Amino acid sequence: MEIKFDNVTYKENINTPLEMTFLKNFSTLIKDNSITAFLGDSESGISKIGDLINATSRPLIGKVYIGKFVNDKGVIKKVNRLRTNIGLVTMDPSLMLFNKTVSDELLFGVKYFKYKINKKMIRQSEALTLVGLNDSYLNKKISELSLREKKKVSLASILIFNPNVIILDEPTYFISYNDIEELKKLIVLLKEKYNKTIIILTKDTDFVYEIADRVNIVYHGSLITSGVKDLLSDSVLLDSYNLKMPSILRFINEASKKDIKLKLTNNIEELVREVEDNVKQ
Amino acid sequence: MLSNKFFGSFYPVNSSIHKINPVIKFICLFLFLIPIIGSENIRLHVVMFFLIVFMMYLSRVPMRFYFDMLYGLRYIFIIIIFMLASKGLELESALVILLKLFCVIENLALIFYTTSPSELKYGIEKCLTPFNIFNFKLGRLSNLLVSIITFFPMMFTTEQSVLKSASARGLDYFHGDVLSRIYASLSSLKNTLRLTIEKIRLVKFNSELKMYDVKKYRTNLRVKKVGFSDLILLGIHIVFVFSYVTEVGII
Repeated sequence: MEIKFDNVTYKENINTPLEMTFLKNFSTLIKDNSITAFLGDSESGISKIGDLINATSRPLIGKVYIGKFVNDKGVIKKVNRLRTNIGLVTMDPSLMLFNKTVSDELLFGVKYFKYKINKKMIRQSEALTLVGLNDSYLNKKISELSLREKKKVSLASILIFNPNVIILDEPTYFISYNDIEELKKLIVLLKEKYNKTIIILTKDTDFVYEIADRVNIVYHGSLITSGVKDLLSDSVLLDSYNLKMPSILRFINEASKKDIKLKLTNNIEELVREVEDNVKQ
Repeated sequence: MLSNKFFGSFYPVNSSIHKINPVIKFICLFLFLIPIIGSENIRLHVVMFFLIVFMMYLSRVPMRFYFDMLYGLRYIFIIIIFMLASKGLELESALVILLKLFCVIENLALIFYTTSPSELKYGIEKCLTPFNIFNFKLGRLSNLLVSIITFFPMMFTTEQSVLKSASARGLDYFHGDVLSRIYASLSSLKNTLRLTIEKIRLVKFNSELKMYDVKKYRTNLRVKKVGFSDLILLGIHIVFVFSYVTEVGII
């Protein structure tokens, strides 16, 4: 499902002293079956991209094209046909989880999207397994879970209804290092095996660098630049928009200052091989 | 993120009304209620009406939030107007009653919009201090009162996030008609109430972490001082009471 932002401006609390502009004249194209990252600090307004795609917010100016649906100022008829294709995982899982138990939370989307799933228990187990949890969590109360577990349940609660587009807002918040590695594998699996479109909204350049096909840098609601992930090797650009250069690229950058020429690599393993080759030469 | 709905909740801007000492706000409310309850003088009510409107303007809270409050109570106003008309009340008397209603509702709205929950607690507790001689548990009482006052604004904020999340997973609120909105609201009500109660418990727990002992009294390191603008506001309210007292002939 292709998504296009056409000159979108989004504001909240309009005409009040608390008026805030989140996106202004924002235009971009998110291709089908890709991993697209929007990078920006906490004041960049990137979290609203998810809300606009999911049509839980409406743009003030401009249009968002999501497949055959259009989110503009008007009402979207049969909006659930759009939302069955979109799974949005918010940064703070507490904003997303409101049911009493994990089982209720997982089955909420299934119930209201009117899915005919005969084997609900199996589906619940599969969703939990994908995020690294097990069946013992099904009857646990949401209020008793840790933030890390809540974050995983929020991801499972959208994976269960199998959306085509998955939007992850700050996916690395609250989870451990091992979870981050697992999440990377899961995202790549979802894209490559199940042809999903993944949208990542974050400031974590390390996370994005290893998996993203395309990166967009957003600052104060405006799209600054977009391109392939080599863009993240521009330290001046990243510095000026409050972002950090990925560790792998920083290593390659520092090495080049000492006349050690290393090729750009995607991950630590490739970097180690590149260093090894360099040493042998 | 702040919700677009501010129904009765604290509106965090910096204004001269926000800066008024909460204790003075409560004393002024008490003084304000004396002529409102007792007086029938339309001129006094018109002056009080303009004072409230002026304070609403100074508060920097958008006027539409105050009108939202009145709009929410529109049916009560309509019923009162019908009752007054059926009793054959004179226009002036009917106007006085409507002014009384407006002043009370908007004065309360002014306090809620311009006083943070922590200041509310401080104000209530200080106002109740004279009851210390009866060995009342003032901390617990003021905590309970603030929980009651902040329950509905907190519920509206919680409802917004629940509805947004529920809409994302099939129970739409934002693009539906009136019936589907009612259905979505009612379906989310149970969870909204549960989460609001959890939040209120959390606020109480956090207050205790900040050295607030609900069983005894507040340990407040920073005592709020009474400034010049506080005294002016208090003076205006004393003039209202004085005007009422002379009207009924006590002085």
